[in-house]
Amino acid sequence: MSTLYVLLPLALFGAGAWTITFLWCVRNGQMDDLEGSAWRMLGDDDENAQ
Amino acid sequence: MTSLQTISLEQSSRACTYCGTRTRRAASASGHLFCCNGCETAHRLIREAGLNDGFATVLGEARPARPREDAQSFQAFDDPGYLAEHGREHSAGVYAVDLVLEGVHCAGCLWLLEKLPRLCHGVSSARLNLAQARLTVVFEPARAPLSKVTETLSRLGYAAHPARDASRLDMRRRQDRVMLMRMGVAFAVAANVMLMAVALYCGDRFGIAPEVRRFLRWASLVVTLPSLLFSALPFFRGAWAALRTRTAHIDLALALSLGAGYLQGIVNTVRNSGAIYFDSVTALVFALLASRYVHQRKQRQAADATELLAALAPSVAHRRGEGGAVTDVASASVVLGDIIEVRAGEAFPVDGEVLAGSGCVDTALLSGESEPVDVRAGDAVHAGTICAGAMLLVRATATGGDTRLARLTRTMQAAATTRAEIIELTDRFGAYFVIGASLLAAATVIAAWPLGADIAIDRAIALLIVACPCALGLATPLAMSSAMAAAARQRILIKTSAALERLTRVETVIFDKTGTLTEGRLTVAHWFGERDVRDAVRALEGHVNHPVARALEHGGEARPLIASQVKQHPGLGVTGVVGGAHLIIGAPHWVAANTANGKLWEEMAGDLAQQGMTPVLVAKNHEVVALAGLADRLRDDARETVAALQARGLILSLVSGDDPRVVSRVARQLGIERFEALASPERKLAIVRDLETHSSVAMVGDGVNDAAALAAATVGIAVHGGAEASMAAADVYIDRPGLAAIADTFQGAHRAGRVVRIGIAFGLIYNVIGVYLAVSGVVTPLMAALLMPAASLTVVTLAHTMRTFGARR
Repeated sequence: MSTLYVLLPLALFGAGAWTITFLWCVRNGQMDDLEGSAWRMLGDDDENAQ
Repeated sequence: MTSLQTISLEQSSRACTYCGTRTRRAASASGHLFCCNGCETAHRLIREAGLNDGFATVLGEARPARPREDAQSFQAFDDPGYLAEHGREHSAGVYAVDLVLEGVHCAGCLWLLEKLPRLCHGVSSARLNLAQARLTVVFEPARAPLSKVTETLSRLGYAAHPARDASRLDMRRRQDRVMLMRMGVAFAVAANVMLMAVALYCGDRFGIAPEVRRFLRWASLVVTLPSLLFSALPFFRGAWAALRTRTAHIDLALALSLGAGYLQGIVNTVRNSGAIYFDSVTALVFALLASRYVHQRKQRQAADATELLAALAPSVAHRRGEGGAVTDVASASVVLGDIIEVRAGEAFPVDGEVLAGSGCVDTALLSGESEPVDVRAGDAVHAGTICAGAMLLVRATATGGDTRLARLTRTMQAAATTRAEIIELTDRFGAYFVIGASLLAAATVIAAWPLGADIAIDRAIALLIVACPCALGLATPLAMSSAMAAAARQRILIKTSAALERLTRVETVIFDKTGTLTEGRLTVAHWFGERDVRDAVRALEGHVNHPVARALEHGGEARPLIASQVKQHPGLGVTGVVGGAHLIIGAPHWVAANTANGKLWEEMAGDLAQQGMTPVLVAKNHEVVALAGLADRLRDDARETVAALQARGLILSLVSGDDPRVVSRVARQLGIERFEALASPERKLAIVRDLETHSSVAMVGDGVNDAAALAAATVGIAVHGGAEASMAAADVYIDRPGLAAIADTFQGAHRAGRVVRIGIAFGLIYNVIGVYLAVSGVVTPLMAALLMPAASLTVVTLAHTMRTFGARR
């Protein structure tokens, strides 16, 4: 059963890493506009053409 | 960006937020309007980099500083300049001020916030626009300084901000981010605690080493902490505010159950016996946050639609100084009497009087008139309308909140603030529910005490969790806002949920004719005589600005011909030379008088007039060669729409100010049995009032002449391209061409009503059964905590997945 004492903290560490990455993304504004990026990708060609 | 300047000017075009190029694209979710993705990216970059202020100076556009949340910020509200700039004097010493609030999320907040006059002396009324999180406070600065009002709001858990768009967008984004972070943490915690809970449940069933069990329970306790301390903070804050102001709020019940569940879990963990509730507590936090987030987003969509109107006036004006030098300034800083230059293609930033120059103005926005209107010195022009001809010099006569456009926007906002009676009912009901549940919980503890303290507390907790009227409280506002958002996507703007509710009860529909069932503009319906002359006619009429000229100009294939020696004869017609031939086009009596063979043609023209058409004669080299009959054509989808509405069992009638011959023809074509012609606005109003005594009436109209009837009707529906007054008076505004939307409106409202009823029924049944089972001890706190988010989610899912407006999502 001692594996649990290693694996559980490891799993929680993974969860923590996920959460911190998510918070970083939000703070960075990556979640502000989920539709905009999709459109911007389509618009890139036009911008280069100008 | 220069290539974009060539985009053709359409009457529905608006200025790009970034470069000012006119565009027909719809506004983005942030309320800004961009002509291209490039502009959107650039605008975003500048804002992200915090260069807003520098950018504003370059643009000459004054933007407000970012709002701060420290204690000192309240003092700024007392600046005399603030009231002067943002307040409206209601009566002597009484002002109305708009505040944007953070943290407004549900009908419960509305109920609480509108109690402000009782909590803060000197405030006479507070009205919240839930969709925009905008609170209008009417107060006496002498008795209650604005700083005190905002401080009170902040004590209630709502941070107040000046109602200015730039600051609101900023605030909105910050709020969104915090909400997402709370949800992210809540989700991570819930998922991990759930995994440990599964291990524990399996352990209880199949056996588990005591020290592992203990370890998992303690781990759950620790992992739950971030969810409780960070994610669930809004609920505790709301509950604390409710306690301090001695009001019942849904957050109070939630915080009680969350807190009780967690405390019980801690106690049981320490004692190493009994159930822990960490899994259900964390799942509950996540589910609640998710439903609030969804609701918030729906509200925003409705807000964006209303704001579109206000954004129509440009924010920059070209002001001409004393020496004749022109500087670009913010429209807000233009004062009465300033001289403004408005260039071709630009919208007027303020209301004003034309000083010099003559040209035409596209007033489609305010009047619904599709033809540009000629203006000359002395004429009035209005903010938001577009200068379609040459440059005009304008003296400002009304600015900022006094323009017609601003007044119209305010009317629409005021209308949006009236809530459905049904929502108010669930609101009040919710508050009593919280009080009732708390009392019942206390009674349960006392009654079950003989069975043991553990059991008594368990039952009380289960009751508190299960009694939360979340599902019930969510059902109506969510279904309504979801339906309104779905309608808005279909370009049907329903101003209030009350209107949506009333739509379901409509039995009679009255149509205005001109511009509603017909296209509202003349087209060539009949053409007698020489066909080849049409191209020449088009070339000549291209030089004339008149509805009849537009009708004659359109139709037929385009072939460029050059017209010369064009001479307009006001009220009569036009003459000119095209391809070597001399043409006279105009009113039959005038053309006949100028030609040799006119008499016979004039009689034919008289016949057309009898049928309700406008006849025009065409003469080539002083000989009449053709006769055109112009008529306002039925809209393409008029027939289908009428049939669809009749199939719904609605009684239709046609009321028009038009000539009886025309009205009867249209009614016959559409299969409408009841019609009345030559109806004055007063007569229309009387008809609506009369019908309303025994049934619910929807009035569909577009003109100023329909405005009174639209306002009086159970539901007023203004169709695309309608006049300002009709838009303001109507409850529903259809922002897309064509009539199919009217049939969609009735169908969607009917479906939305069904969604609301199902939601309420579900919520009630859930609460009643849940409370009964909790008191009798059948439902444990764990089951209750699992049931509650399940019930809320069911209602949320119902509201979002059931089809209302438009195609199935």
